[in-house]
Amino acid sequence: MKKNRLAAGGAAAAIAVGLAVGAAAPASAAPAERIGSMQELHAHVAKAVALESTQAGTLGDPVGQKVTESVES
Amino acid sequence: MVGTVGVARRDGSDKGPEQLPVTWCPSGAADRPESQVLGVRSGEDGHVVYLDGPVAAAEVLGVVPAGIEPTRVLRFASHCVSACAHRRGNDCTLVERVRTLPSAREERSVPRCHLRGRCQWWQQAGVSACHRCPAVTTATFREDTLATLVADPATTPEQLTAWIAASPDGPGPEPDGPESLGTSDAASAGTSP
Repeated sequence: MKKNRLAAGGAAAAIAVGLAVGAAAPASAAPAERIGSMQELHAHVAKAVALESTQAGTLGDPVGQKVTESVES
Repeated sequence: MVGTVGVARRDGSDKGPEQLPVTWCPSGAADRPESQVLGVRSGEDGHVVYLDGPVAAAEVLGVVPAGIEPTRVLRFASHCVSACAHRRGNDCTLVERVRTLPSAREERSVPRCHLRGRCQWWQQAGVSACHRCPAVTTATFREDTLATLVADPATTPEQLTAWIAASPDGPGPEPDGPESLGTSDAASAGTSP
């Protein structure tokens, strides 16, 4: 029984340490920014358009869907 | 809910259309009836900031000024189509090339994404696609050699890997190459993102 109590105590200590470490650990990277409203969406589009206005180049093939014939799934 | 689309039954029977699951392209067209906005290239280095939920493309296209290609500033999702140049059977060869590219950051998590459950890239390539997705610009410039290679259905992942290894900037901070695809940095560098 004594051994069991020790084992139980050790486990409890380990859990406590784990919780403490978890509590003390710095927050991981800030959550990625998200767009949650139409107002935010418009603001982000305006920012992207401003960034894009500084770019120049000739549009090439898309890194995306490229439909070559009829559009059927 | 995964959408379905009716197609002619393969057995030629007269039991109505066969319902096949529809997968969505995360770098899709802006002008399809089902097109949705996935995100905006308003983040750091032109990376995509994702929407919490889908918004119809038609509701946003009008906000993009004339003279700006919408797929330069927005990422759209639309149904995968059989006529896509990147399609091989039920697979997308584009994501095979995209996943050859470096992941910009050592990220253990992936961006939250409203499309994931329906996304062809996710279904085919899992998190390796999600790690690279924010760096993808649908419309890229021809001056961006790497993006041009990725966009070309004839390019194999092996060719991309070799090109990245031989590029003047080297493979970048991770074994598989430079950090983003089709960003302004890429355009200015001319050879790598």
